[in-house]
Amino acid sequence: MSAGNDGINKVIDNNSAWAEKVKSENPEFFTELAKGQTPEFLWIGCADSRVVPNFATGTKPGDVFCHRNVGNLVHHTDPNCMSALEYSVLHLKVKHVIVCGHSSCGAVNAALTLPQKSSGIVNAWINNIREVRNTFAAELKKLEGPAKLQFLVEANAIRQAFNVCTAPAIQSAWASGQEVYVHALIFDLATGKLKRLAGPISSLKQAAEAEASQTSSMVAKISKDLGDVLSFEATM
Amino acid sequence: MARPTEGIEKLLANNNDWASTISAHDPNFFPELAKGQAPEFLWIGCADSRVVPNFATGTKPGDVFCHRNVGNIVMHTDMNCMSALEYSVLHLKVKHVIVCGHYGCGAVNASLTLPQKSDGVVNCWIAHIRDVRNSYAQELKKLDGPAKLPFMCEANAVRQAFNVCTAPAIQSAWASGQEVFVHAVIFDLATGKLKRLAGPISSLKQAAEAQAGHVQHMSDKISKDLGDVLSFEAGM
Repeated sequence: MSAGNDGINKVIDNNSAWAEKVKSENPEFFTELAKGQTPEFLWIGCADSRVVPNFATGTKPGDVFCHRNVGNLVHHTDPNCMSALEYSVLHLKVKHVIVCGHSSCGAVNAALTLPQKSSGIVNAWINNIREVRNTFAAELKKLEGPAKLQFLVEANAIRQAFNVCTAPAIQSAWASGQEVYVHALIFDLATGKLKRLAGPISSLKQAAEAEASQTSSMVAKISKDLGDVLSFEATM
Repeated sequence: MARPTEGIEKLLANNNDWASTISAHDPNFFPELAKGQAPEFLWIGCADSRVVPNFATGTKPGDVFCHRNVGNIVMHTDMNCMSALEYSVLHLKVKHVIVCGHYGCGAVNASLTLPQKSDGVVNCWIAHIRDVRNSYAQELKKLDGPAKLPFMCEANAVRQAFNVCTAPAIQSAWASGQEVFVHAVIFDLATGKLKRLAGPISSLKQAAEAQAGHVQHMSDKISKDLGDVLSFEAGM
């Protein structure tokens, strides 16, 4: 069964070469790694093969706890993402949660182009991006092609970052005085550069006031939603 | 606000170095990347900060579509993971799906030690690993304390790989004659080495016959479960 083995054998060979190289440069590297993890960051990014968090951020094994899914989505009804958030924030006590979107995201593009009637799970999964799309219907109408996609890519990244802010794990952390900051970034495939969209945010109030450079119009809109949450919670 | 931005500033500085260095050596690298992705692999691994798929496999941006969650769990009722599987297998047509566990996994350890009554989402999420644990109650009873965890880390990786085999996306791919192989591997934090546990698998029948090195007895047990699925489907 050569075809099935070719790919995996290559992976195993690469792995062997990497492990040997690291060990020769630093004999204690892996044995130290095995003792435990204290990452500074949680990265919530897209599963897209081109957006490799450790490459893009120049980080090493042990630095970044990482959850990747189709479209870098964060919803409170998703135990998969919520587990990653809860574990990294409340147990590992990461200092920063980064939500990273990227240009030409297939999931975001699908939210603009895939018919609602399409079969399959991805179609249902991206519904959260359709909601962001609908929130910005007026803005999107004024844009064409690549500009439309880029706008929604950024709006989605910011929205998901705010979903992190309102998630139980983060709310609980902030309520107990834990120092943890939330950020939204975007990765530009064409240049390899990361750009900041929002953050650092360390309170719901700040989330409502967050600067976001050229996406300030988006943040203002999302801030209104958060303002609504704040008002309601104030009455509880 | 110097302190909250420190971590992010460092990442952005690293990012700038990385992107600039690559562009200097190969000005086409990122523009080519932006055109699209055609990854050969889907990696389903743990969110653990120490298990970095692209480092461990010596792969580049564009090679590996990546879903990472707490405990590298694959469940058909989890839309998050199923979306990543469906998109990469049926749309991107990856050739290999690798489920990678790792020794010293906190999620697997929790399935052995965390009380059922514990608070939080992680406790619910790891129920899937508790199911695997319960399947191997006999084997686990025979093992001493320290030996239980590595056994479970391997058993979990193999089980999740078989959950990939029975998932609609893979079943559909195989039924239409698509060439896609499923593998289970385990990452040893203490050495950086990947070890093959099962695969390449390209049919349910093969899944039932899969070799699995020194976890042969585990694979046999799971094979029985798959044999049951086969028999039932044959009667449909």
